[in-house]
Amino acid sequence: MEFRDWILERLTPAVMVISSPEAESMCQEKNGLTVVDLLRPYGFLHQLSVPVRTVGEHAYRIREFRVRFYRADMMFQPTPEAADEYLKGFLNAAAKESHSVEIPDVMAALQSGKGFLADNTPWWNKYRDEFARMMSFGEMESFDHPVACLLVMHAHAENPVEAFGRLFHSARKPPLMAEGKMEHRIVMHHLLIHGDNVQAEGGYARSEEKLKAARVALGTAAVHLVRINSGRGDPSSKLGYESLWRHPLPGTLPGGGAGEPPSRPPVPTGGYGECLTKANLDDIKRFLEDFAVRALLPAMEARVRALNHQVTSTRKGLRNQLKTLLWRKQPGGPAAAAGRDSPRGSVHGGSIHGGTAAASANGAVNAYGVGSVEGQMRALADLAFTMQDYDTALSTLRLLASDLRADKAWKQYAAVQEMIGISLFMARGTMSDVLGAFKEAFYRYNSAAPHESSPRECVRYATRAMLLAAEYARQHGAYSEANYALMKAHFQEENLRAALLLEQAALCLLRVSPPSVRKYAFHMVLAGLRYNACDQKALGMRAYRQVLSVYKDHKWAFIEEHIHDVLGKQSRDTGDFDSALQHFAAMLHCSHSPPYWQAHYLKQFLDTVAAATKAKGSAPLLELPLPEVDAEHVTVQCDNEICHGNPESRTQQEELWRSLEGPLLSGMDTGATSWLDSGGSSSNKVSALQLSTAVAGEMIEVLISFSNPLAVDLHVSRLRLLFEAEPMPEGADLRQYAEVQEQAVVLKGGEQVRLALGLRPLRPGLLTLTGVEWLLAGNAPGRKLFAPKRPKHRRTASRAATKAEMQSQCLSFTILDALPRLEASVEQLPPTLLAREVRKCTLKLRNTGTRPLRGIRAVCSSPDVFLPPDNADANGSTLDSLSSGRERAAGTSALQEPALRLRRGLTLYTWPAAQALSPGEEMQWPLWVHPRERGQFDFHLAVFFEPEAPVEGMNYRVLRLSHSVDVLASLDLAASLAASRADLVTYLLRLSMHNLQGLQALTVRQVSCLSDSWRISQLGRRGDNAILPPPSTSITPAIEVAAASAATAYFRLHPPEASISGSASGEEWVRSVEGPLAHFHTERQRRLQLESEPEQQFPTRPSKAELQRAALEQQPEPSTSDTPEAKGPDIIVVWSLPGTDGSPRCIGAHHVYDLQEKENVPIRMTLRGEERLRHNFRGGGMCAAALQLDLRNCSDAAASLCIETGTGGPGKGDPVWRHTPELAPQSSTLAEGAAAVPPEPPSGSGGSLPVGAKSGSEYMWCGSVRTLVPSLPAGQAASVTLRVAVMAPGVFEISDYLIRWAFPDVDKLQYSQPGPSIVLRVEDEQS
Amino acid sequence: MIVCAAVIGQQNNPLYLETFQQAGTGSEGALRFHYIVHCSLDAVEEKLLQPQKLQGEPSDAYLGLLYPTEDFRVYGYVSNTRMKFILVLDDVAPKDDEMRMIFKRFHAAFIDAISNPFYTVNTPITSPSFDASIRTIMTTV
Repeated sequence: MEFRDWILERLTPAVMVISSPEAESMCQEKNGLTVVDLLRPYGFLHQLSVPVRTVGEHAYRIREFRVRFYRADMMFQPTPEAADEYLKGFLNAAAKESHSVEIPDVMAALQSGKGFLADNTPWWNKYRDEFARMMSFGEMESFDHPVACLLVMHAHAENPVEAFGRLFHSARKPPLMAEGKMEHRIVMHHLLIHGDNVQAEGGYARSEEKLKAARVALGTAAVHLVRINSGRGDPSSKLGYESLWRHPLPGTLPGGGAGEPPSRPPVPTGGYGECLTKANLDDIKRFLEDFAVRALLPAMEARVRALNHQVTSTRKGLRNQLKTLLWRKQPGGPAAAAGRDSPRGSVHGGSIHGGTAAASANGAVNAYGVGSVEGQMRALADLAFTMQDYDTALSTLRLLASDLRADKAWKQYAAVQEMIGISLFMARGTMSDVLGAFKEAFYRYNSAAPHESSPRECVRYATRAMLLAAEYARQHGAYSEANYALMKAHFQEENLRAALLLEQAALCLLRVSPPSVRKYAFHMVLAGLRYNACDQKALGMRAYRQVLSVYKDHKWAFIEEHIHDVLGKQSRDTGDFDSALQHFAAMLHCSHSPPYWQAHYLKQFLDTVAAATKAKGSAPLLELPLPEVDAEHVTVQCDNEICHGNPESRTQQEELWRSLEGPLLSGMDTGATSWLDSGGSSSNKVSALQLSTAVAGEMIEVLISFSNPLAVDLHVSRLRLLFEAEPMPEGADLRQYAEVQEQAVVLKGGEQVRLALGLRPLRPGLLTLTGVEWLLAGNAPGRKLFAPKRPKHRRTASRAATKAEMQSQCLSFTILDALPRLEASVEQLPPTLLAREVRKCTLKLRNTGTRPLRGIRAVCSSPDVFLPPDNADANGSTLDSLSSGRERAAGTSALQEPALRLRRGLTLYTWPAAQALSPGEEMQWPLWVHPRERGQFDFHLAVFFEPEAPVEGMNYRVLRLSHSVDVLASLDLAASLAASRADLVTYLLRLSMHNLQGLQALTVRQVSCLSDSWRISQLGRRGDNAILPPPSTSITPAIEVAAASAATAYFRLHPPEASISGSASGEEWVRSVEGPLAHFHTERQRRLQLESEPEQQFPTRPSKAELQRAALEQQPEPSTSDTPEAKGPDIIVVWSLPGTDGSPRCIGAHHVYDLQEKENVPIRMTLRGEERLRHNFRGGGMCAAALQLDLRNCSDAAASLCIETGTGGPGKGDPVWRHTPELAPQSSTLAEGAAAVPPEPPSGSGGSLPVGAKSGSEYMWCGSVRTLVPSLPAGQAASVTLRVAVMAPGVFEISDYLIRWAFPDVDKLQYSQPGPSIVLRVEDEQS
Repeated sequence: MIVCAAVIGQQNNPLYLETFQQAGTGSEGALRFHYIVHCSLDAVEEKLLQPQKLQGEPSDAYLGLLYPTEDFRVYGYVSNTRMKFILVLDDVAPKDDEMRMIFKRFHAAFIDAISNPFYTVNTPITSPSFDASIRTIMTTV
């Protein structure tokens, strides 16, 4: 309703009705209406045009007019207590209806831009009207005072005129009138009611006669006759006007008051007004028009003029103003506190009775009686207002206000200000003026309150003023003003009204621009608090619920916690366990709270669950926040085509597996699609893409993170997956479709775990995982549903990795019928290995499915893993399988064809197609590992197999196995090769070993030389040749290298030139020429070769045929490729580490490839000769010794050599006589072949004999100073005989000679080297 | 006296809220300040929406008195990155310059706290040294 209409409806002339009991009963019995109720609907008169003239010169017309009727004795203000009690009851009724009013989502409404305009507090307007009604008939304001009195008498009375007189005198008047505070000289009007139901003699004609008589006595215009109850009350004559009567019926108070009787007559069976006919109603209408126009308005007009005249004479004009000014200064005085001294009404002239009520008993209340000038002014203003002459009202009120202000009669002043506000509004004053007047009224009411005898009354008046202000501001769009007014009003009020005011203030905040949502929420919360304080739980909860959306998202946790706490407790107290649990569950997001409160909240929640279980029989299932479930990151682990043999295999990159599986799946229809394929049957493909595939009877595991955000422990039990199966008939048992594993876990405070929840589908069809369910602390069931996955963008989905990832997150499965399933394990694989250890493990393949399988193929990722071609050695220890000399039994099963080496270190093993594994059958295969480097050694196996009978939906499966071993340091070995000085052919092999593992000594057991024709032998002492075993391919030296220490060993290597015959393989500790050791030895070389070849065109998925072709091409190459240069020898050094019982715990092998000489010696030479000579010096003079110098050209080119003797060794400074011959071929002997050259006597040492040496030199070179070997072809040996002459017995070191050589074919450089020395011992024969 | 200090993040989420009242309040008091600070964000937004007085004039981070409640006065300060600093005072109005200084020190302490490389942006500040420095600032006034 508009504010103006509201004012016009409320501030209208009041008429007091005094009716005779007979007239009342006539109305009430038949119609359920009192006389007042009968008249009320017709009190609104429109389409009038009544000229009136009040104080001005000009008349104006009244077009609409409203008259209020009240029972005379009920025209008083009820006590505040009674009024509040009534209002509370009224609100209780409204609160019951509040459930039906929807609670809006404020944030959603605001964000959608629609605003929040729908009124969701329907009780408020009614409450406000009722509150205003309870405040009417106040003594300070006169617009509720009656302006006329209507006497109602039944027309059947004998003498109506007398009866009217008796009635008026005997009737109870309004209490204020009795006290003299209400004008009692008012216009009287008379009404006769003729009831057709009363069988009076004469009927209606008789009544009309009585009317005429009465009119003669009382005046024509002052008496009317109304005929009622003409209807019979039967349904046929019903007019359907029931709502006309029902609508304006206000509530009643127990003691009556506020214009209403204590109770209403019973409602007749046919509804209100059942015996009234259309003619009756017209009668009433006609009467009221007559009454208003011809009696009421003229009377009011006259009264306004009279009052105005009086006011003018006493108050207006300069003289009166001066008088007022002077007179009013006397009693008060500025020191006197406001209101405490009673302002006395000013009496001027011969005023009316009771006017000098100045000395009223309590001295603090109203002293301005109806006879005082102030009372008259107020009456004038109110009357003018009701006559719609707002300007007169306003000017009079302003005058009155100034007087009251001077009197410091603040309560009256406030009432006048309130009225000024209303008048200003009606006179279209500015908003600030109107609001200013209301605010002034509010302020003054409040400041007067402490000094009044009934402060609550003042507060209520103050609230009324602010309600008017708020309503006015709200209707004019000034919502912040309205909010201000309502907030101001609520501070002083008692809880219920304060709550209502706060609620309205909050709603105003939503309409300001921009909406102050947070303030709204705060005010709403305060309103909720106040509602709760006055026991209006329903409205309180409503207020709290409305603001929940403002505080959502857990940002303001404290506030949210508070609201949920309040709501939860109230819901629990009202028995609404469902919502109580929801609120208590929301409070469990309390990680910010101290542990004590966390435990308390948890307990509160669990207690409520227990209570709910008790009340309902079962606890409701909630989306619990505890434990926190990471439903966004759910990873599915299930085996479809791809089976994972162990958990490690899941952690590997998808690319790795794809590269491993490529060779396995080559040539198969793997369902791989390109963009070209997908065009035709897109829907099919899409659905295939979106669903994962799983196999009935095999476990589907879902990895979900659970975390406990609280500081208290959480006991979670019966943790399991939720699923839906399709097709599932109604009422089918879910357990038929899948078997769900349950888990229990205790989450410590702050702990996060990732659990694998299992589910085993039992029959083919569709199955969707929908969520996870658990039982918290044993009695609170909770669940969390998985968020449905959005379809991924096509481009990203096309990438392999993303596709796999998507599949791992897809929660819908196509369950296939049972399939074979291979499980594999690598047994006997220790967690740690030593670097270069050779270890035999067992690969166990077992069919755990229900169908037979066949066609097993495997790809291994590492070249350091080897599956032998048959499974002969599947059992037994590593040493047993390696040791030589053991009879090898043939294996029970063999690989179909030799293993294919593929790129990137992969190896493909294929079992014969006939090799099948029936369910439960197991196959064992030896698997050799040989990690080369320390660190981590990973190897991955992909095993392919097919069901023996084809199964729709899955042609093959691949098992993935991944293993990782820590590799520790073992032996550091460095091998170097040096030319032997003892002969021209063999080499010395130096092995420097360093035992890096610091715990045990390891023993080098065997050194084998694997190169063709190379042999190895122990290095004995000089001259011990006979004892040593002959050179062979392997020797078993048993050198112990202590823990963390180093050792060096030397061996002699015999190159093919040495032409050792026989005894090809000597004693062997382990087999090195064949078996795993040989495989690992050659593997590296072959790999290197394979990788160096150009890349083929089938990087990931070559067809089988292509693979074989490629493998065939590769096979012959190793033999042809080692031609280009002479390779050095390859050796294997085998060591072992003793176990506890002395037998070798682990065996390792070092492979040394292509050993080359450390320093390349182009010409190797040895000097031989008899080292002990006996000579008869006396007899023979000097002793001549022949020394044989063997020379071998080890380079690639032919060399020319020259031996110079007597070059002056280090010990001899003496000059030697030399003869310089030409570099020409002389007496040198060429020795063919590599056989040991027997010393040949020099055929002719050419040149002249040396002439001699100086005295004192101990030996002397004989023969030519230079011996030339003009050309020594590569690889050939030659011998030169040198002669030395000794003059005296003794020990001589023969060393001062030099060998020079050059390679004329290669370069022009000359090289020289001192020759090897020899010690010559010459004894005198005679001594 | 300052009874409550708060830092509010860009999404209007509380990063820090501490009350400095004398004994006897407890969690009820803290809750009340949560409400008051939350409420004051409306006033902050309102102030930020107001047009600048002069074209080109740098906007002042100090927002002044946001709104008075029954017992408290709420002051605000907003950084260029829209971090809001709220102080609740319980007695007579201090001078604006004084408040400006307090806010600047508050801001500086906050910058020190979030410069910690182990701090995740837009999460509640739990640093004890920040808390200590705020207490120093607030109690020295």
